[in-house]
Amino acid sequence: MIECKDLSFQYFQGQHQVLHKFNFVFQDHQNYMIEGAHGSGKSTLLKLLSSEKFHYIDGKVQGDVLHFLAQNQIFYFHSEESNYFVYDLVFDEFYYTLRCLGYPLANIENQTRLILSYFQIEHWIYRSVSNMSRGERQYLKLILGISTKQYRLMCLDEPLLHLDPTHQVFILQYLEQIQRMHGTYFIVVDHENALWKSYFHFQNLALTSIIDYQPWFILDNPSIEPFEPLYISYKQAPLARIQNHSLDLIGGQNILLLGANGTGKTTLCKFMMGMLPTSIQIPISKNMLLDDAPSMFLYKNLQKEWKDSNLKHPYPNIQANTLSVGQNKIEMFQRLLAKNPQLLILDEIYEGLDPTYINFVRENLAMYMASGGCVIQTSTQVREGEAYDQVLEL
Amino acid sequence: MENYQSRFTPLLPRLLFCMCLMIFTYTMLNLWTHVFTLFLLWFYEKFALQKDAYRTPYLSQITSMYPLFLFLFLFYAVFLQTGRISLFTLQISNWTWDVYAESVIYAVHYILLFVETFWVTYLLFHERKMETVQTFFYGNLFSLTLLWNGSIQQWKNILSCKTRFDQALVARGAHLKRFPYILTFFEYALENTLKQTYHQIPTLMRMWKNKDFYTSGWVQKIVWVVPVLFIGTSFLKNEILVDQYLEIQTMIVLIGIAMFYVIVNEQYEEMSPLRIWTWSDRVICFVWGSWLVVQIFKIDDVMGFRELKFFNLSLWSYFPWISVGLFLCTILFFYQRRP
Repeated sequence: MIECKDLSFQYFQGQHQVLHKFNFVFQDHQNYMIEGAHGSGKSTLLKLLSSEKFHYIDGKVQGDVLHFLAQNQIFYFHSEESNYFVYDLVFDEFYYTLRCLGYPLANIENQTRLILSYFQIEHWIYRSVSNMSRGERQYLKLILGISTKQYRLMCLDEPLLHLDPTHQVFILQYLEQIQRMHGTYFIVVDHENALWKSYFHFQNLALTSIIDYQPWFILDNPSIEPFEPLYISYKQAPLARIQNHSLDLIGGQNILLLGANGTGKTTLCKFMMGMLPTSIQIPISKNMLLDDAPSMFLYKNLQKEWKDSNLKHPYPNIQANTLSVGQNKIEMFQRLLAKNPQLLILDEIYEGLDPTYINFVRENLAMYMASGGCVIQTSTQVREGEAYDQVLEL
Repeated sequence: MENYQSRFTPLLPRLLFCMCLMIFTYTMLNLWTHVFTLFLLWFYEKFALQKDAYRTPYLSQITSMYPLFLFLFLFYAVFLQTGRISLFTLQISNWTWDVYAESVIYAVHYILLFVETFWVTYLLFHERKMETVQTFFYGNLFSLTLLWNGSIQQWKNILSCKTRFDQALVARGAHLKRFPYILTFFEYALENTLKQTYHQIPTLMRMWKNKDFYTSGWVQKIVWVVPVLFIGTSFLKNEILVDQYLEIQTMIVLIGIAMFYVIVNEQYEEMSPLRIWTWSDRVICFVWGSWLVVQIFKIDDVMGFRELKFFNLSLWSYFPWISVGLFLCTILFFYQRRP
């Protein structure tokens, strides 16, 4: 299907090669799961596999990627793609896609309804994409890609990242169905390995990390100013369905905001942070890790990000845009932690992190809470091994 | 397609289009035009734009830009010594500086121009109905895609980039003073807008190659006339330095409007079902059209235009005619019914 011969790749602004002399043959009729630590080049390899002309990547390629199937038979999806829609309405997006694929005009609406009803979102047909949550946008974008055309190969990079468990199951069931009916095979990068393996048989491909970035900041007896318990009411929040809720902010507590995609978890966090015009003012110092962590970097250079602290960054010359999504998230997490805020809001912190990084986050959070800091996390599911003092179900 | 029809509110894109045309009128008219334009923009934001808790009202945003307006006022009213009627004289020891009445009027005019331009951009940014209009072009119209993305779409990108930047600052608990804020935002916006543009390249490449989806050669050729006309005219008149800034600014807006018209005409029609021409639409178009025509024919330059003094005229004399042309085309376009 695809053969990699002595494939090496280096980002233009990177210091090291992400892939070095990589050789592998991806066989027909076989699913592959690419595994490896953060920064080992999983996403980069998937991009190289999915495009003959390497449109997606700004770096230097050496060696060969030989495709033995037509380019239009390969589908590529990355969770970041969910930010790019041509239209604002769901129907318009389907209309455009199906029209390009040559569907007759008269059939388009029925076909769109059919697809949406399969994924249990028929009521979304006239929804505006700009009013959707990140998880909802990703679900829609994935459906648009996988359900409108038949492919022989799908290269999927963290396709389930922001999806709630129900949506994850719908997607996996559909993929299982098209594999059975159309003989579509998958090359997948995802940290939720177990879930995928319960649906498909995979051959594993392990990549080793060449970039030497590792989480480095250890919270050591932080001086967090204690604060009196605060009662937070959401009466002024912009979403009607969350206006009846309230929270008690108490130092040292771990609070979970639990809910499916589109239930208002992120909105609630932004409301508490004072990012919305109708926000409340909480009289304690607070930081928030946004679910789109790379957008929080103000500078390209990591040392510059830390310039207002006394710490010397161990990787001062690494550019933020050469780090992987997981590394970006952990780097920003450390940056926020080092500021010793009284309240730390973490939007889907564990999504897309491997077990090593998850343990690193947990250890630091335990230390942070023991020192009197309050943590609010959002998630679509309760994670094993995590203890919460309050759970607010949305 | 019954449900699909009902979601259209034909009033909105039309109002937006009329607002764009306003820009042409206030480049040549008096204070009352500004007042009328500002009123329409306010009306649109208040009653037509979707009520959204995530949106900060424009007026509360624009007031924070007072240093820019102060700079503009000083620049036009004091530094550029335009005019004859001396309003007052600044005197510091032996140094004196005359401030002319025309300069002050010019400065006020420019400040209002900025306020209105930003307001239109703000409305474009928050106007979701606009997104139902195709913002990409296919096949032969590929170069227009680049133009669109370089003008109005780019404004939207920059505004959304600024929203992300402000959110990042709040999320990190960072406070930047005005000057470091501008510098940091510049660096951030450069990186992020480039990244965004780079992500669009595969999509644009795919569209470029896709020759079989709603293509038309003549529209592309016609639209290129617009910038050529304006650049050519400014050179012919030999008044480049005087009018340059305003011309470029207006040209960008003009290209944006031309793009909008082309999109609507070429693709929106194909993508949308039958429209219903409501009575309110007719009333608005009649009132607005009559007002525009009356204003245009009150201007001296237009009288000169009718006497065929083509090259001796001020550049602004072309705007009303183009405005009227675009306006009539739009009305005719919207009035047609598909079979």
